[in-house]
Amino acid sequence: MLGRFGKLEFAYYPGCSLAGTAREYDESLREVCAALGVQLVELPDWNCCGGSSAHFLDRELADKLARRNLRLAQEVGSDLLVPCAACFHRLKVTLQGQDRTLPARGERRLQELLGQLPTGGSQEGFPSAKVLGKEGNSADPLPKGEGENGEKAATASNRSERSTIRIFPVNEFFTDPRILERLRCAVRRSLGGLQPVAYYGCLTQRPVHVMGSGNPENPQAMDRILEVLGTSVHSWAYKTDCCGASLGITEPEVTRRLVTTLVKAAAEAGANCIVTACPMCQANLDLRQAEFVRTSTEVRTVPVFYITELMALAIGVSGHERWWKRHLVDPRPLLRSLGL
Amino acid sequence: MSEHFLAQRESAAEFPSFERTSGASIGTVAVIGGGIAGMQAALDLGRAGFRVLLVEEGPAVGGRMVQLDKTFPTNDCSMCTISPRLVELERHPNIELYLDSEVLGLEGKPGAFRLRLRRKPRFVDLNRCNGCGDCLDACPVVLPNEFEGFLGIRKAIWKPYPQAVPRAMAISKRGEPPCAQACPAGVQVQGYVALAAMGRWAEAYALIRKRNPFVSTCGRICHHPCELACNRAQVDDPLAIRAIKRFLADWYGHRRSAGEDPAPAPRGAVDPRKPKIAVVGGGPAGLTAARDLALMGYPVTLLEGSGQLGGVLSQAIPEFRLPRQRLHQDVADIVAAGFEVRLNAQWGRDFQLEDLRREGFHAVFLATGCPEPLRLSTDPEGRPLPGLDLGGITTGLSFLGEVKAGRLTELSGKVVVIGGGNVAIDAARTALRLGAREVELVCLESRQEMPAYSWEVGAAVEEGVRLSCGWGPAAFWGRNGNVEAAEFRRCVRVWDDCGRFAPSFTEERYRTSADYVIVAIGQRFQKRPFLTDAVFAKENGLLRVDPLTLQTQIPWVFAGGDLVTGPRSVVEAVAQGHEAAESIDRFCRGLDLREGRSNGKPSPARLPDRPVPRKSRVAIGIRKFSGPGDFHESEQTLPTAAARTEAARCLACGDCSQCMACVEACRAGAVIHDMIPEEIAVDVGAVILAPGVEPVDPMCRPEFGFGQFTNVVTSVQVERMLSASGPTGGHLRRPSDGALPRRVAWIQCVGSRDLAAGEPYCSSVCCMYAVKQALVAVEHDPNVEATIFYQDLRAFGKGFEGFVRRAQATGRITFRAGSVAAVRENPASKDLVLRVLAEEGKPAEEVYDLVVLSVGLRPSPSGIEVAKRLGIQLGPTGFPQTTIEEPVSTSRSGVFVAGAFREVVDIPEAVTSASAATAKVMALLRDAGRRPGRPAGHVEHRTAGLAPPRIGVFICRCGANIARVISVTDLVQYVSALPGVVYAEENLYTCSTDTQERIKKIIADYRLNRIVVASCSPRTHEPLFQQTLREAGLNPYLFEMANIRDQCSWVHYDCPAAATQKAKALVRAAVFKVARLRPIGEMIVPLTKSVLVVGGGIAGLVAADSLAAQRIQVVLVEKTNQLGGLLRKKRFLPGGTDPEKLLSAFVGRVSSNPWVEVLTDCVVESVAGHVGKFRVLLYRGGERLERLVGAIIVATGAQPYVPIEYGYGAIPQVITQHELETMLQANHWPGDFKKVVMIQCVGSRNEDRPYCSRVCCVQAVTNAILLKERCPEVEVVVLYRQMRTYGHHELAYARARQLGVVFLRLEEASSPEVLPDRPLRVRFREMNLRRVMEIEADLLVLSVGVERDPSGASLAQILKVPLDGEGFFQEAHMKLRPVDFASEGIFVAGLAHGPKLVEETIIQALAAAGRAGSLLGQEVLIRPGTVAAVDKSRCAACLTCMRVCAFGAISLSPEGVVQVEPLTCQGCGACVAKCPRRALNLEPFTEEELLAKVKALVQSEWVAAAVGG
Repeated sequence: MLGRFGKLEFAYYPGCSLAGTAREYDESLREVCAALGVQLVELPDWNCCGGSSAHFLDRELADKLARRNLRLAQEVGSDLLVPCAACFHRLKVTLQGQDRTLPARGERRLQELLGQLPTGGSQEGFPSAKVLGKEGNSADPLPKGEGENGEKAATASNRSERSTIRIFPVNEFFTDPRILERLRCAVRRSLGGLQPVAYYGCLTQRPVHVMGSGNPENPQAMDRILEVLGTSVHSWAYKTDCCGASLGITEPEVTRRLVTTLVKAAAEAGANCIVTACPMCQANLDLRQAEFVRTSTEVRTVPVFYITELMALAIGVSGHERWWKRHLVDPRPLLRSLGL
Repeated sequence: MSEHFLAQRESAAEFPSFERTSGASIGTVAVIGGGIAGMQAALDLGRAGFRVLLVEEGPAVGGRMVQLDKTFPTNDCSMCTISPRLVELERHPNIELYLDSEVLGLEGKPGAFRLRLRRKPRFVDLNRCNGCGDCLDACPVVLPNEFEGFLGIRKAIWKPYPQAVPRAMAISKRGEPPCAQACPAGVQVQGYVALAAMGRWAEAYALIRKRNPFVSTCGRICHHPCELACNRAQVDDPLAIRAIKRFLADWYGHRRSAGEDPAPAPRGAVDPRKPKIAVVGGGPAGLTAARDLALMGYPVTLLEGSGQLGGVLSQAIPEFRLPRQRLHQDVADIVAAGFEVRLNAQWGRDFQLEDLRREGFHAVFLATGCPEPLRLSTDPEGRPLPGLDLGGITTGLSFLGEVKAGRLTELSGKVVVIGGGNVAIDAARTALRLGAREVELVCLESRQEMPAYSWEVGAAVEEGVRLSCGWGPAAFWGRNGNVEAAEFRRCVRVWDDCGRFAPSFTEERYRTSADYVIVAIGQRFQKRPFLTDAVFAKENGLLRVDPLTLQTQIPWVFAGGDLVTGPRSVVEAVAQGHEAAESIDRFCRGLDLREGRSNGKPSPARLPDRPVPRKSRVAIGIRKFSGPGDFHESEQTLPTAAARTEAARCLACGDCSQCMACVEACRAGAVIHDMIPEEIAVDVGAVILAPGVEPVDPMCRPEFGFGQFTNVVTSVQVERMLSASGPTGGHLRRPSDGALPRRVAWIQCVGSRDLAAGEPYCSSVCCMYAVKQALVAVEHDPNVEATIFYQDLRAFGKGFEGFVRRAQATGRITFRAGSVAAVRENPASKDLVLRVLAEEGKPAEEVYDLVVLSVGLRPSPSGIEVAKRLGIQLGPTGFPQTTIEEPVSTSRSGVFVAGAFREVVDIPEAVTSASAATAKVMALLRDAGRRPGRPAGHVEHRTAGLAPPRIGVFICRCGANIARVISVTDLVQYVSALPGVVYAEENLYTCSTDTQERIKKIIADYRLNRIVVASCSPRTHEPLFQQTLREAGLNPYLFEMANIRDQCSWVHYDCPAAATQKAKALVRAAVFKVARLRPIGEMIVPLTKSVLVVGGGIAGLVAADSLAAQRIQVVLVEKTNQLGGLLRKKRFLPGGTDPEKLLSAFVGRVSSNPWVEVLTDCVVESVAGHVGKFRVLLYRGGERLERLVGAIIVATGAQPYVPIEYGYGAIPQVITQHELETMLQANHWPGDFKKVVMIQCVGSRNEDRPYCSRVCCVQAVTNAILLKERCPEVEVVVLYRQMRTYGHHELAYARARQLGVVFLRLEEASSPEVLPDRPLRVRFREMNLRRVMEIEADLLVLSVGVERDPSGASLAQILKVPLDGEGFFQEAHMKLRPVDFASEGIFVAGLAHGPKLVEETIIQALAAAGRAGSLLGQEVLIRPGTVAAVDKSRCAACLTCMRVCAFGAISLSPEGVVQVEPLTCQGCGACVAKCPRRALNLEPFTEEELLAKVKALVQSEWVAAAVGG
């Protein structure tokens, strides 16, 4: 049934966060994959994704950084798992080759409707909402040259590299039916008592028509995984609200407000922890809570887990203690109180 | 092909004349779409004598309008308005309904098309179904009701709404559900799950057993392929189908042991004439085949080699998985089918095939299974592994068999099980139970690859079995002949790249100690020396048969089960049993074995595309393994409640579950589950396309949380909630808790005016429906506070401004400009938090109880598909491309478009465009033959004399609808004794076609002269029975109905005795009334085939042109000396059409047309007569002319407002839009005019003229674009209050903004101040910025409104038709009769009716021509005689009646009493009720008749008992 004759092998791009601040994310992910019989092949000689500053400063550089990584993945020949949301975002945008056309979407559609642009079909070209959600993650990593940068990139690259790989963020990866079924079978210890809210953040969801997530306001993938792990996951309305990570240094007051809102909303939803798959969100929520919320009388701090940490806990692979120590809001009292 | 259309199109644009076709055209018209537009077109054409095919893709007509609660701006009930139309449509002799039908294609040319349709199966015979609804209770499948906006539920067999036409039910099927398709035995899984969800356990159990007799067994050990296929897995977890089956089996077992049998096992009646059949093998396959054949009536003998039935089930499945008595339960039910069982009769040992032949068996089914275990070997030659002969090594099957037989009860030490399949797992778990110290399971495969079901592996591990995966046995070591250890090699790969079993090993070794070794690596077919290869070809040690028929090479011998397939599951063996039985039956009857059978299956029904909330799967209780000796069943049966809850998780993927409950429930025999699609080709002369629109998916704005937050609903859902027949009975309720909401917010433009995610155009109706919903909500519930967040409040239609003011006057509806950024939910209260701009322009969060998304509308995808198949061109937004001059014509000649599919519009515009399309059709098909648009059997006035009453009474059982409450037999008996009744009977369905024939026969046989039907509502059924009377030669008015269903059995379902009494009273009243009825005749009016058109503007010209094309004589009267009207002043039209060219084309065509008499400088002086024959007196240049016409069209136009505001007239730089157009046309823009300011609503929406002039916003935007395109350097600022660029004009508005036109919003109540400096300065208060601004203007352009034409008032008086408050002509009904007056035969079009754009005027003029053409298309006008009559002796000439008559039918006669013009009278009865002298009477509702009825009603024992008691 589950890929009896097919191997489950994926290329793996950890990115700098998972090699540094989010080591527990990396470790838990690798442990879980090993336990599920999924082989990860780390991209040899991977480079920076360009997510932190390159895409602000030099689009061409950002483009090239991402393209090199994608090319490496093609050489490995497997679909690519990109756990860091920021890295995923950069690679996905490059893969889709659409970022430059974004601001003018409405404008372009109007021109098309008014007959100023060749339409090339009645309603194609500008998919309406229904179509938007259903774009796959599959695309040509070297899209047809469109605009200035696209042309440059196209000429600079070798035609033979054209092939199709898919890239996955963690949530989508683990909700692939084959892998989810393996996870279901592998769960040794149901995480009953754990009442998480799933926090997706912005990077894997937006821009909507690039990321192609089915429902950008109410994604479901992580919720499904958490259900398989046996937790009582709560629905809430803040799954993709901004956590303010990028303003943590420049506008700490804004970040404080956003983090407080999220932590408060999680508590109102009845959650006793927040689960995320983004190193920036995790770090921001964990750190800022420790800073801001701890002193607050109206909100209590809640631990912020990586989804893979909980998977590892449910499967029963070792190493939790090591990871829990790296959390600023210590999850151990909660886990202990639940007998986990 | 499209080029061809284009060429035609261009010439049509140049000369938009009516296409003529050579030869006679076909007088049949296809109308595609059964919404209000399609219905209107069908009725108009039907009346005019065309045969109409109304093609509707759904199961009923009615479209969107039937979903609405009320209609704005009158707040009339939508359903009440439309339902008479529905009845008229259903009864119309010229209209044929093609329901459930889709268009495939259109060939041919205008006048002679061939339309190809596919009628999808409805699964209900339209001719038999009476819509009684008995099937609704029987159907177990509960689906979200799309008609109720998914708020309510429906059954798989359904009717969208109670008044639906046709009245017949339909079954919705989405294909075979994946579960049923996955079940090898063919069990209707969804069906029994649905029955279980309703707690109908016995039916559910019986449904499983129909196809799978091993209910109890499979409820325990089935590998449930159904669950693996379950679509629910895509949402959360598959349904626990096996657990539900087990629950049902245990429930049944329980009842049986309590001595009941709620679902008796089917028994066969052996037909001794049928040939004898032998079944060899008593396992699942053999038992199934034996049962099937026995039920077919064959004498069957089953021969089983062992001493018990059940095969491997009874011999090897451990007790903790399948307790013995559970298997016995199944076997007993199977044997009950009636066949002989011979135990201990083993094939080869006790008998041979020849013996069976000799005994007279006609066919044999071999199903002896696969009982021989495979042996471990080192190589393909089969050399056994070293040490395999040591003691303590056994096989899985013999181990399990020994334990099952009770011969092995204990073990000790360590057990090693070899194998990764289910038998190995069973052996390992059994070993634990026997007391093994340690059990290790060693297999070649990795854990993921193990062939055993993963849940079985999990259970084994849970109980303590240790897995060692990836090892292949190499040798066994022993001491004293007993095994002591086993040695294994590392297996790195089990299968090769092609998936073949080809393990490869490394030299790595693993050795483990073992006291016992159980080898369970598979089984095979037992070698039998008596089977020769010549007869039984074998593959892999298995018997080879024809895979489809299971026939062996000996024709009379069939084989199946594990014997053929290798070891497989029970349910697969059952499947083989069924197939074998089918083949043997065919073999015995000499039929083709293969015909109609195939291995392929169609793709199963997919996951329903509605949002499905996740709901976790029921946890199946597992009894913890307590240690050695514990052979108790480990898995527990579900609790009753859990079984129902789990069953209710089913998504009903197939809609219909094929459980056949409806077939049993339907007394009319109307349900036919094996209907297939049908392709139809029809010859038609023309096509009208009106497939309508659908709401935009609210998920296009996910930030509003639809689908995520339960209290965010769409406007469609609110319509249903507000509707009294809707899911909440007319109350606005929060879906989360059913509470009545207090704070309700409407968010406008969801999916409309949205270039990013929704539709770019304005949907035109949302603002008004939101206002209507808010108004209904606050009027219904005094606690509701409504807030409407809008972009521009587009109240542009007739009466809309007043409606908005009425809403504002409540003080509880707040209108807030600006949208909502996002909606969030409070998880505890489910209240909604809206992120909005607050008063100070700062972001804020506001809390509401309920949020309504005013979703826009778009062409339905199926409509777009139809349009493509018809080959017509669509514009970029999916609507057909039309032009101003040909607004209802598509790119394909002969195909016209109407309704909201033409452009999103409100009901009246949809209806108007439908009538307009019929005008085009009637012109195109003017040569076609027509037929009478009335029922056969016309009745002359007072034909029947007044013979003594001989009354016949027909009492309807309505299936069980009436009969289950009212004792119909009693009623018949009672009625028979009533005075005048000579005949009474009951019918299953009085309305069915065969009963009509019966009634006619009985009328003749018993010489009946009056008929009473006691059934349902006269509203729907009276015309049907009247037609029957007519056909029987009886006057149709000698008829009365008693409603003993809606008003009796339905409402008094809980007290049958009293209901029967009431039914008696109701029927008695009808009998007493009918005895007094007199025949009423019908009036025949000849029709003058000419029309007077008053007004020579574009509306009058278009109407005259269209009528002339229909070959109807026209008298066109224009009061000035020139044709053209207001359009002569226009210089530009939206979309670039040249108004002068447009006008001159029409003027040219009309002036030179022999069918049109143009009279300029002419006015109407007086009009006398009635519909069909108006005598018109005209005054022209001093002379009087008289013309006789059959109908009149009022197209007298309107005039532009001449402003007095803003210094117009005094300051030369202040001009109107018309004057700006003239400047622009001159193509020379004065260089010093750099700044142009436009002011909207000049002379509109103020105290004097409170209405919106509708056209000015579009005009301003059109002119601003022209100005910007010609002189980009000119700054254009538009000062507006609400920008009303509705429909696709929204795109022009967007274009204007794109060009840099600045739009500034004035506060509603304020008007700008103009300071007459040079340049002018305009000072105003800007609403969004909330401050006073001042801008300079070199040119100030006033967008002036439209004003009534003063001559309208006198014409209204001459025609006796009403004007509205604003001085425009008032149509008969704002929604459904938009171009008619209440007085028949008079129509209105153009600005005389109210402000509108040129395109809308042209459509309305065509519609008026269509309505007039439809009226005059009849041979003669037949009017019912149910009109008021005056008793001259009583009339005091007080004239009360004249004042109340809405139709002007009453006048004072020369004799000094009133007289009623019978052709104008509509029979409403208002005058009768008002007359103080009771001088007016209306048959058949005379005082005498009604009093007789009332007396009969109240003098009943029923009333006496009630009063006395």
